[in-house]
Formats: sequence, C-alpha cells, structure tokens
Amino acid sequence: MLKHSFFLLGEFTRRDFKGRYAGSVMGFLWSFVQPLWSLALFTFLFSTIMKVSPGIGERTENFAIFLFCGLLPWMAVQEGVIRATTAITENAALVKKMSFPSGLLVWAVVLAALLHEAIALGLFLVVLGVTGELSLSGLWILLIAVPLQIALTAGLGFLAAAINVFFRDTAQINSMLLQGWFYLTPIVYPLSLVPDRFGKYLALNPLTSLVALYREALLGGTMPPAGTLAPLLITSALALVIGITVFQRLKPVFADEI
Amino acid sequence: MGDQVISASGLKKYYKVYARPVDRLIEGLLRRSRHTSFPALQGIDFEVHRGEGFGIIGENGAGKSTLLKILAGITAPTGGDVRIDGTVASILELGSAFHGELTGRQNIALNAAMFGLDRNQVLERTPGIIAFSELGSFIDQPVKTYSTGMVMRLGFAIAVQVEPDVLIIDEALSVGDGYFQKKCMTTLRQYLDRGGTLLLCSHAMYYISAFCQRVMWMREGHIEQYGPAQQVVPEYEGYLEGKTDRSDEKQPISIAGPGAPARLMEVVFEGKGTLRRGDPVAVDIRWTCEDPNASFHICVGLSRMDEVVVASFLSKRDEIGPWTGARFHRVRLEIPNLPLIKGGYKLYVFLLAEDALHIFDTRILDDVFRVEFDEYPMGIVEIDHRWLKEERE
Repeated sequence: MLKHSFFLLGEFTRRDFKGRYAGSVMGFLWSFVQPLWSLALFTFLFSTIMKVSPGIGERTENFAIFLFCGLLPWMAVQEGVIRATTAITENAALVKKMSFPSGLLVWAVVLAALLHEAIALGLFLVVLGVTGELSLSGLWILLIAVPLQIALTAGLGFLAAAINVFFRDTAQINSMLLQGWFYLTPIVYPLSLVPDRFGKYLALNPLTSLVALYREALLGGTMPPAGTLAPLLITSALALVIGITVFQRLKPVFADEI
Repeated sequence: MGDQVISASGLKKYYKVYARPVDRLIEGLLRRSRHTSFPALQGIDFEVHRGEGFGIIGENGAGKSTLLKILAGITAPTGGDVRIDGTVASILELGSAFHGELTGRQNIALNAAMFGLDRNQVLERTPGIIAFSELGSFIDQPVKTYSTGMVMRLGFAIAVQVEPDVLIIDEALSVGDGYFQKKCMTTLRQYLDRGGTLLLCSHAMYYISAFCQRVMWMREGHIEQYGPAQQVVPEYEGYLEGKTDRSDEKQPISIAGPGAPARLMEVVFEGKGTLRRGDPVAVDIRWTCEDPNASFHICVGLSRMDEVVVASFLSKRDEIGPWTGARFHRVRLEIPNLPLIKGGYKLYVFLLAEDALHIFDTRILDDVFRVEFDEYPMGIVEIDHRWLKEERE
C-alpha cells in the first residue's frame, strides 16, 4: 500500500514537473533562471542601492551569497504552499472522477518544489566552489533542516489545499500572507540589523530558524543551539499534524464541493 | 450466486446547496445552518453478485451518477453502508485523468497507477494498452493533440487492461467509431466471462440488456424497480414511452363526432396484458346507431405508448363492410400472430361513415398490452424474412 503510494507520488510529481515545462522553449532551464533572477534583483536593490551588508556574526561578507542561502529554503516553502493551495481545486477533473489518495497531489507539489530547490542548490554549490567559499563541513545540517522544512511546507499546504476547496479566496489571501512572511524573515537583511524590540519576535518566526540553519549548513558553520530551533521544530510539527488532520477530515466531501 | 461483491444498505446522499459561496464560510465559522439539502439518494438497498453484469438505469437526475461515485470511492455517502469486496476501477468519464501536455505513454503510467497498478504491472501492461488503443505512433505525442475519439480509446484501453474485480462504467460505451465500440464490447464480454463483475450505467437499453442479468431502475433517488433485466428494462421503456402521454391532460376515452347519430357501445380487447411475439390477439367492437340505413366502416389503430403509429386496420381497405341495415352492429378483428417484439401499446378504434373519412366515434384503449422478451431485441417488430446462402460454383 505504502509502496504503491510512493509509486503514484512519483508519477504525480513527474506529471507536475513535465507538465509545467512542456511546450515552453527553454523548458527545464526556467528552474535555473527563476532563482537567479530573484537573486540579481534583490542583490541590486538591497546591496547596491540600500547598502545592506551581511555584517558581523555572519559567515560571509558577500551579500549575494548571504541572500541566496536564505532564498533557497524560502522559494521552496513559498512555491510548495502556493501550489499546494490550488492542488485540489486545479485537479477537479481528477478528484471528481477518479478514486485515489488525493493527498498525494499536495505531496507532489511539495516534492516538485523541493526538486527545484535541489537544482538551485546544486548550482549554488558550483558557484561557491568557483568563488572559493565552498565548505562541506556543515552540509550535514541540511539533514535536519530539510525534513523540518518539508513538514512545515506540507502541513501548511494541506491546510490551505483543504480550505481552498470551500473558500476560494484562500489562494489570494495566501499570496499576501506569504509576501508578508518573506519580509518578516531575515532573508534580504541580517537579523542583526533588526531593532531589538522587533528582533525577539522575529526570532520566533520558524523561517528565521530555517534560514539560519541553511546559512550554517552551506557556509561551513556549526549546528545552532537547540533552543533557537524550537520555533521551527514546534511550528513544523504542529503544522503537519493540523494540516493532515484537517485535510483528512474534509477529504470525503472534496468531490462534492469542487 | 449468493457471493456478494457489493452490498449496500440504506445508502443516502444529501448535497448541501448554498445560495452564495460566503454562506458556506459563515456556516463553518458560526455553526449556523445556511444551506438547503438536496437529496440525491434516499435510502438505496441492493446487492451485486460476483461475476454478474449489473445495470443501473433511470432518467437524468435519478441519482445514478451519485451512486456510482459512492461505489467508486470518490465521494462518501451521507448515511447508510456500502461494502465492496475487491478492487474497483471506474470509468466515470473517459480521459478525465489525462494531462494534456504529457504523451499518451506517460499518461498510461499515471492513469494505470491511479487505478492501483504498481510499477511492474504498469510496465507489463503498457504494450497491451497501446495495442488495444490502436494509437500507433501517436502514443508518444502529447494527449492534447489527440481527437476526442483517440482520448476515449486510450482511456477505455487502460481501464479494461487494469483487470479489476469490479469495473464501474458510466455511459462510456459510446467510444469512438462502430469498429472500436464492437471491440470494447467484446472485451467487456470477455471480462465478464473471466468472472469479473460489471456495473454498467447507461441510457442505451441495448447495452444494458446485452451485459446485465439484473437491473436497478432508479427514480428521484429511490429504487423504482430492481430485478431481472428482461423484466425491468421493458417496464422502464414503457414508462419512458408513456411519459409524454402522462404529461398531457388525461384524454377522454370516448370522443363522439358531431351530431353523433352513431356511437361505439363496447370495445373489448381479447388477450392478456403481457404478451409475447406470436401470441394471438383480438378486438371485439360493438356499436349502435339511430338510423338503420346508415352505413359504417371501422378503423383500428395500433400505437406505441409514445404515439408512434405502428399499424392501422381499415375495413374499407380490406374490402369488408360497410355495415348497414341494423341499429346494432358487431365486428371482431383478429391478429393471429402478433409480430411485435417489445414495448407497450395502445389501441384506437374509430367508428367511420361509409366514406371512411367522417368519424362518428372514437375509443382509446390506453396501455392495453405489453410485449415481453427473453433476450433484448433491437427494433419493435419481427419481419418475415429468409437468408439465402449463395453457393460458390
């Protein structure tokens, strides 16, 4: 049963991946272009114009590298949640006419987002190698960061996917919320720039911990103290449990409501 | 028999209908009811035996599709219980699971996986599916370039190659051209012969009768009739034929002509209510007139319940009559060998003047008899015929 679910998940992910780039001239190359474009824009805006620099306590002086460490997990979370929101409603034909575990549709977009991240990560590691900043010593931290990130993305994705079936405004609200979340996470700026009275709240943001984990992992750092991981750990676990519970509860009537 | 693969008891399904989308949200948040309920299924009990063909018929909106969706596991019933013992594959809409940008071959893998096949089974059966679909080199083209017929062929090919314990098909047999339809039917027949269970929902009574031993006729969320196909199908067809009739105002039994110097006294149909092809039938007609010198002809019309005139019997044309010289008359029309093979019928009896144009009186025998059959026939009459086999020299 589980084995078959994995097989089906693979097929859905393939469908998502292939379907998305089919017919476009550059095809798969878009998954490289998109993160590079964001990187270029943000670097120009925040580093060149606004003169933000990673500052003290960060492992790199290069803003682009600092930024990309944060963009990597952010883009995967954002893509996963946004696409999961419409995963059920966009596949109305499937959900209404076929009998299958519809949760796989959510897992498939989360997985696809993760694959995009992996590609960008590979690219990033090559760039680090060229600039001589590559250090593999902290890479193992990703083994902790990525599962937590998946749990967070999938949990929020399941919740949003289920609610969107009944309340289509979810997709719009979600993209606004995510926009806010992006700027309230120290991705384009270091946490050290944030005034103290806000900084302590920003530290409660689970993505703050996630981005910190990525920076340690990719720039040869060490595992941050467990206490700083608490927001991420608790939020991810709660999101996954609540998301899947709500999804499973509402699933039997999806076909009637889409 | 006795080995049930599906058993349903008290199956109910109510759909919530909201006037505005926001009502659904308000109901969810405030826990105050903002919907009206639409009953699609109101307590359905039935059983399907392993290895049988089971037909579900009824008009649009009778609840057939809702029932199939519940059986296919796509939607949950509001109440009641359904138990299915075995794997189920359903074709509720051919090709709905396809992704237009993917090739036919890629869609086979995805679709077959959704039907529950594992990787090895998919690899194993893909050549068979491609062969069955007869798509040839198109199989490696994106599905969006396919014609409707090609999409349906591929969809059907996958579903039948999955070999489930229970195959549920909703109105999907009108697949492609006649040649492919025949191929699908042969495949379904083989599937049944191998012991598969088929649940077929169709408006085409020919398919229902060809594949199903037992039939359930649904109407407005209820079971109207449930039993052997040769019993339920004619009842349903009779109901459909009579429906246009019933919606009209009740027609008067006797319509007297102007002046009415003559009228039909008694019109008696001699025969059973349910007949078979070849049975004898007769009509006994009596009439009266004020003037013994008046002359009469008789016409009997035989119509199907939907007012299609099947045959007419006119005394003048048959060089019988006219009847004259008395105030009471009586005639008997006999049909020794009824050529009708199915359906429900009504009789019109006209009392005519000597010119066979002016109508004195009319009598209608509504729903007077019904013709039953063993194996579902195409058409409504059996016509005398013979086949000549040409000998080669």
